[in-house]
Order: sequence, then structure tokens, then C-alpha cells
Amino acid sequence: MQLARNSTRSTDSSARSRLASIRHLQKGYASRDGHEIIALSDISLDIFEGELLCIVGPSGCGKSTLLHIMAGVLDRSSGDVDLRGKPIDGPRREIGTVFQEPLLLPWRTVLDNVLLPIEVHRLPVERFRSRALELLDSTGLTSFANKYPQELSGGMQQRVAIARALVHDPAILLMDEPFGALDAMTREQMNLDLMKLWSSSGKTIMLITHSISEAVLLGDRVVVMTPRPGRIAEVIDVELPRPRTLDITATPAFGGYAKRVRDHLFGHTSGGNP
Amino acid sequence: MSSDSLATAQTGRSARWDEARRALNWALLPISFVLFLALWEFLVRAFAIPIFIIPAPSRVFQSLLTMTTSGLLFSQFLVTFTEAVAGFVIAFMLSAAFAVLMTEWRFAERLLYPYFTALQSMPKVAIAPLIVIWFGYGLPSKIVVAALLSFFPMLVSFVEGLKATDEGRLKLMRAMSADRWQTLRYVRLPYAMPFVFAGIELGGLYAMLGAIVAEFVGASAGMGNWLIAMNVNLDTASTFALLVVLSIYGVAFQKLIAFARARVLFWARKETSESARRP
Repeated sequence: MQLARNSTRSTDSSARSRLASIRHLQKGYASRDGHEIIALSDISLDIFEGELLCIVGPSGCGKSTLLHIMAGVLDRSSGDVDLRGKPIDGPRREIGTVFQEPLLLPWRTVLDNVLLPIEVHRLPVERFRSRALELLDSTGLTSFANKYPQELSGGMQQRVAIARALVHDPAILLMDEPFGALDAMTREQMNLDLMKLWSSSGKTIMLITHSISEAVLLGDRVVVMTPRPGRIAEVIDVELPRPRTLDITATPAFGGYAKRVRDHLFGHTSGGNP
Repeated sequence: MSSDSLATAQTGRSARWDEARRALNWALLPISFVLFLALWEFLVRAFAIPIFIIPAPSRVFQSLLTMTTSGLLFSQFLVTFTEAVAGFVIAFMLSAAFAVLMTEWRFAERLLYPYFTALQSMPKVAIAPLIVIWFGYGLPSKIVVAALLSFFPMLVSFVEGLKATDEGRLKLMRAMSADRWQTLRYVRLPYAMPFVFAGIELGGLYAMLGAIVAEFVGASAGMGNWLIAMNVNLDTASTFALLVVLSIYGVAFQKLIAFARARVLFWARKETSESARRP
């Protein structure tokens, strides 16, 4: 077992160091009529230190299930998932998670919402206050620190959720369709801001999306998943120069990557519907 | 120019009209109440209805005045109020404890809930005489009946409230590796607060009802005891006066709860409108 792992490490022998690895991950659950539904089938994937990894696929491809297993809030059926060499068997403090909804607590101010993980982890809140304010500052929310979430727009609420996920300085940031509920223009701005945050913080980010252009715009690598059963169709290295702006979406290179992703998704369904 | 003055004249007229309507809205209740009392007074006098059947408002007011100045009203009200508060506090603590127990452990819910529903379906007013036999003529039996009556509505509200947190926030707490007590403290209890307030409002009114009913059955003091005594004496004016006092108390209590609720649950109304707006 250990030997096999060592050999896989030597085959992806780039200089990048591996932060997390997923090996032969399988997830199934029983549907209402008793059939077993395979949500994830034999997923193997490495996540490298400092990369921005995007996972894209249609609904039902198991991408969200994969993130929930990584976050430790969902059990796996078989296979191995580990972070920094330790298996993920439950929620870990080195993980920060952003969900599709901001999920802020309406009775807490923005600042207190950001500090919630610190309280839950029983760390000294005073010591993290300045860090929380810095995070709010970097997302342009300084003047909203003492406001309540319901006074903020949807995009601002999701920025607060991102600050909250980063406040305890996790090793990896998991994002489950974080901008899916936002309007298109807010979404583009959030994409640009996320790239800025990523390059300045050097965090490893795994982001789930159903938007092909979002995946190609953001990702160092794009993992394309297809449904029934959920499996990885291809892992694409996106070699577009950084820093990327929205202009890059108009280039042929961008279009080429987007087409490569799209071909997998439509190739898969071409047997049935168009 | 002329159209301008026409416009001001129109807005002036409509502003005056608005003002009048607002004043009417504000005064509607006091005016109708005074008219109601006047009609009542007139009918009682015109048909010479005996005072022990229906007393005129003026006689009720007279009784109220005598009760207040003699200090009797305050001391008797205090007896009943003390019983109700003591019963309420006991019921509140018990229902809160059982609600947490039953929502944290499915086992406790499966074990206890059938008993509670059985007890709940029993008419508790009917067992007040038994309680007086068991706990005596004094204060304890009143407290027990008050607690018994207010326990169930509060328990039901609290259990419902502790189950009200959405799945997303529970998942968030799990992802933060919060333990069950932190989840309770940071999300489930705050989300239960709207239900807690609803429970307190019901429980408070039921506690007062319980104390009065227990005093009906057997007591040496209190509003219920007094009501029975006045009824036996055919002193209907005093009975009416006592009912007026109890109604005023009920309204004041509900206003107090509404005030506290607005303070504590400043986030609740906004939250619902915000989530409704979100696509």
C-alpha cells in the first residue's frame, strides 16, 4: 500500500508538492426505491500546494459530493482521501469551506460572523480580530464590519463567508459553487477578486462550479467530471498567463480550453439528448 | 400659473384630508369605546336592570375604585401573580430542559414524547381538585397547577424551535468541527428564539389561568378566591371589576412580550424578507 503510494508520487514528479490526495474514492447511497446510486466512481486526484483547482461538471456528476467528502461532512464508501498525509475522517480545522449560500448568522455582526470559526475552535478571539479586519479589508468590506448580514447584498454576504472560511488560516479552501446564486455581473467581479485574493494569499483552493468559463478563467487545472456514475473525464492544465482578466475570455486559447471541457460534457450526453 | 395654484390647492386639500383620516384612525378605538360604555350605561338605567345581573359601568368603576384605595386589589393580585410567576418559572425550566433533551437524543424523544402527549390530552383543569388534595390549600397547589398548564405549550414550542435551524447552517457548523453543544449554543438556540417567545407568551397566560383555576377550587386568598366570594355574594359589580383588572393584566403582559421580542429578535423579520428576495 505504502509502496503503491510512493510510486504514484514519483510519477507525477513535478516540483509541486502534494497537499491532498484522493485515491480510488467511491461513494454510493441507496435511492428511495432501494437501488444503489453511485455518486462517485473511482476518483483519483492530487491537489497541489498553492494551486487553484476547478472542478466542473453538470448537476448530478458528484462534484458537490466530492467537496463534501473533502470537507469531512460526508462519509465515503471506499477509497482514501488525505490531507497532509492524514486521512480525512471528519471535519478538520485545516480546512475552510465556502458553500453556495453565505450561511451567515443574522444576529451576529459581519465581524463576529468572520470570527465564528475562532470561537468554535476555542482560540483567543482578541488575537484574531485584527486578522479578521484585514480579511474584510482585502474584500472591501471594512466599513461593514459592524453591520448585520441582512444589510449586505448577496455578493457582499458571500465575501463575508469567504473571509470567515479563511480567518483561521486553513491549509485549503474548499468552495462549493460559491458564486452560483449571484447575478452574472457580480459573479465576474467575484471571480476577479477571488484570483487577487488567491495570488496574494498563496492559498490552495479547490472550487466547484457548473460554469465552464468560470472554471477555465480561474483554474490552474480544470477537472472535468461527467455523471452517472460521477467520474473524472479529464484533468486539463490551463496554461493561460496570469494575472488573468476578463479580456482573456475572448482569446482563442481560452476558447480552445472551453471547447475541450464542453466536448467532454456534450460527448457524454450525445447518446441521449442533444 | 393657474395650473400651479390649482395643483397646490389640490395637494392642500388632499393633505388636510390625509391628516383628518389619520386622526380618525387614531381616535377610532377610544371613541367607539366611550360610545360603547355610554350605550351600556344607558341601557342598564333605561331598563332598570338589577345590579346583580349586569352592573352599569359607573358602578363597576366605583367598585374598582374602592378595591384599589383599600389596597385589597393590590395584595390579592400579588398573591395570584406570585403563584403564576413561580409556576411559570418552574414550567419554563422544565420545558426548556426536556426540549433540549428530546432534540439532542432521539432516544429521549422516543421514550418521553408519548407520555407527554398522553398528559397533554388530559384536561388539566379537571385534575386541579386532585392537586389541591395532594399539595394542600396554600400556595404550592396553585403553583403546581400554574406550572402544569403552562408546561405543555412551552414544551411544544421549544421542541419545534430547536428543530427549526436549516440544514445549511448545521452543515456549516459540522464543517467547522463544532461539537454538539457549540452547535446548540451558536445556531440552534438562537434560531429557536422566535418559537421560545411564542411559547413564553402562551405559557405566561396559561400560568395565570392555572393559578386562578386552582384558587377557584380551594384557597384563602388571591384573585380566583375573591372572584368566587364576590360571585357568592352576588356582588356582580366587583366581579366585573376583577375581570377588568385581569384583562388589563393580560394585555399588558402581551405588550411586554412583544416589546422584548422586538429587542431580542431584531434580526428575525429582516432575515425572512432577505431570503425571500434572494433568487
